[in-house]
Amino acid sequence: MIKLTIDGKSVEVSKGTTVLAAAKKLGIKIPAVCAHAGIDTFSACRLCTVEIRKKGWTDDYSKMIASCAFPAEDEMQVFTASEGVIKIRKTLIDLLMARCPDSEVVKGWALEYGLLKTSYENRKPADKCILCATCTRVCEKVGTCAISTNQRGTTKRVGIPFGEATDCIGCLSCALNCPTGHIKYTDDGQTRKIWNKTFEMKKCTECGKAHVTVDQVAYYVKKHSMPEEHFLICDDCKQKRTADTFASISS
Amino acid sequence: MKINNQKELKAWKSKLIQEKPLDTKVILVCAGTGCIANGALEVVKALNEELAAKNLSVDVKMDVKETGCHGFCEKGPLVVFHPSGTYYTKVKAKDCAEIVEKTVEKGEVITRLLYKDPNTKEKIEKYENIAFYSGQERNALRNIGKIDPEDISDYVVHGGYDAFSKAVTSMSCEDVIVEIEKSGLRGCGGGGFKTGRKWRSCFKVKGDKKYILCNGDEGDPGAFMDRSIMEGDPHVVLEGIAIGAYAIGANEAFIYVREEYPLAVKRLQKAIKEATEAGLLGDKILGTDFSLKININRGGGAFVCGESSALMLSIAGKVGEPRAKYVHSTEKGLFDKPTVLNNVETFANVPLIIKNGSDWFSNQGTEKSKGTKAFAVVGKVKNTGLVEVPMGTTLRKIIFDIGGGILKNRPFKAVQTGGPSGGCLPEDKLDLPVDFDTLTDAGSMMGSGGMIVMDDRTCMVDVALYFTRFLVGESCGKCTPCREGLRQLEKMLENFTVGKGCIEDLKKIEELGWVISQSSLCALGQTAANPVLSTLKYFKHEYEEHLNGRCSAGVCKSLTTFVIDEEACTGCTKCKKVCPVDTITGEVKKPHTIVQDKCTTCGVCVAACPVDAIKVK
Repeated sequence: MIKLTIDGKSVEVSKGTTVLAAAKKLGIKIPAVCAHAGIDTFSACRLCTVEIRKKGWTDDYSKMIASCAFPAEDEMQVFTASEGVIKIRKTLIDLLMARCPDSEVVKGWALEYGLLKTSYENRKPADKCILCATCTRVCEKVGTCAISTNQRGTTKRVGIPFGEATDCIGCLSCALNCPTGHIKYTDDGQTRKIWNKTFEMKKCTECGKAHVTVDQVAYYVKKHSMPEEHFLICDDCKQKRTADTFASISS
Repeated sequence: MKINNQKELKAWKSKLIQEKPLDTKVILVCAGTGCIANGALEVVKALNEELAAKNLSVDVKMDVKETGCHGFCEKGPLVVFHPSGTYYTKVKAKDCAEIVEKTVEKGEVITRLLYKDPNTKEKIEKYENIAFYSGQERNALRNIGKIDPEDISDYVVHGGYDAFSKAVTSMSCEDVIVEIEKSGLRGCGGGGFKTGRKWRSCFKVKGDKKYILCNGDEGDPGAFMDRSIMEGDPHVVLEGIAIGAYAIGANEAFIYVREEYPLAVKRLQKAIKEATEAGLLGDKILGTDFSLKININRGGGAFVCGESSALMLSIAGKVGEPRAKYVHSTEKGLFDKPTVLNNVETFANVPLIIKNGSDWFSNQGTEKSKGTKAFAVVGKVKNTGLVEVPMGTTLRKIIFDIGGGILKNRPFKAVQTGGPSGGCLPEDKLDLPVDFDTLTDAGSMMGSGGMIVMDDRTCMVDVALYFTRFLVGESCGKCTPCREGLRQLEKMLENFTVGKGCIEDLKKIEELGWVISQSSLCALGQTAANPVLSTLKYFKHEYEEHLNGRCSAGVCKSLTTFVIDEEACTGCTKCKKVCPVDTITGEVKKPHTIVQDKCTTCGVCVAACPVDAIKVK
């Protein structure tokens, strides 16, 4: 086990635990927009930057690190709200506000630090994407790799290759995980539209609700060798059916 | 021919030397990228034709050898006579008949083609007497300009692969690592990390597969050290990699070369082929159990791919973006295997250390930075080119002795070291001994060795904007501070150059620069604010001057008005002749005037004026 102190409180964690996770154990909140429990660390938003002092370092030396990726070390001291950390966090949020002036989510973070509007120049034209790449990483995790970031630097954006969402199966993982609601989709119960691609839906044989895209079924059958019958009824009906079964057993 | 053991290698070398002793007369023609662009290949062709036509006797006859870059690119194409050392500059194909007739046949020197010292105006015949070369100490560049980079036997004759054969046949991996550790060699690519320590940490990691990588993705504007080594002495890179691979236990290597270096790729490919055929690469090298395959990977034009973790992802076929490196590459690098990455120049030093011993290397340089370092000295300096000096040499010696001083003897203003994310150092830092630590302490960095010299006609705000803009374009865009912060820095600097800056912005630039340097993901972002912060530190008065609507260097167009000093003007009419918009009036031998409404402040007249009479109002 590793013993460290965070903001003066000591905590024990297992080897390989990140500073962010260790802080969470103590109930200390560190903002981390691009960190997502289901996917690998990315360390891009840098909002989770904290100040550390390792064993053996002199008192006048400390370092800023990204807590989402940095593994906790024995006798390490972590400061999550030092003057420097707050200055960095506030500046980064200020910069993100200039990047996405219309994002209510970013405005919410900014309010926590007393920022009503950005002190920098707004990006034009602006959208709500903060480039945390949660969408592309989730997509990669699903295995489809239908979207990715393209270009670099200030022109970087999330998109589909050559304007065509060839590999997209319409699972909506990207849109549902987007922290700022940048990725738009429509679903009218008949068809689903995302990334300029229209998906035909399969209807639940019990309740008739459109619950999965035809492409999703084909992908899961092929990739995970799942039986096609698995997708005949929707998750809600499946749950209901299970509950009914349990009810009949217990009565 | 395949060499099966160390004895055969020695025998091959002796045979080659016997056939052609080292002092055999030969004409060396620089065939580096710069000289080729200036027509070096035509010179080679013309020399060969002239020599063939002459039917010379055996004792007069000379071969022509195409070599790598001699470093003095500005004076190219360069032709050097070996072993006499007679050195001709700016040689054209039409000079070749005369060269063969006079210098080859009669041993006469053609004064017209000799190098003229820009300060003493004296013509200098010998290579070694030219200040540009005599002030240097060439280790990594030792063979460049002497050997034919496309011929392995020439490398072997000059002691090539001696160190490698010594390492694999008579040293253990531990011995090699200890030798490199003791030498104090530090990464020449800019990081300055101790090479020995890096090798040891990778050596200690258990693993069936390890990789060794060579970083040839040199992207700094104005820097060409690694290119010259890869083009001029590709085998030294291979030998360094092979020694490193042996030490850490790797059997596969990648050289990552930037796409813009086709000649380097061609020569490295040829070198790998020759070395493999000779049995110096491949399976069971020199009869030992050590095997090594070297691959070449071409970059795709992204500056950030010179960053180690981005480079590894790029080789793996992924998006070239850096990752958090709290777990070192020596444990988990390329394809998640233990990996060592060193720069081209670092590898070029390795064979010499193994051959001459660590003491020989560590006797050069300063306490914490050993050996030598190559710099690409460019900008407003008389002798631009590639320079290798011991660590600890002062900036003054590099710029004023080797570099010959500032062009047109204008006043020195600043020197920018360390590539785009280095800092600008002012005149009072000229006596700073150049090593990794002193430069960092001064707010700049060693970087890969770019050195851009600036005179009084350089606007430091404009320089800061130039480098920031470069980095905005090259930032991968992954992390917030680098992507968004640099864009805002660029915007604020832009405002200064057009007179829209405000005093509050000075503090804001400083604060934002601090945040970018502290919170960025990789070294590109962490150092990206250096150009702004160092110019703000040493040239704050220029920023303030811009606030008051004036750019004293006359660079920022909207803040510049050029006027002619009537007392200084001799009425030579040179300015009038070059003015592209014909807005200078005046009679011969009488003071001229610039009619402001048509003036575009292009500055051509300033450069043309022989008496420096055109001033910024």
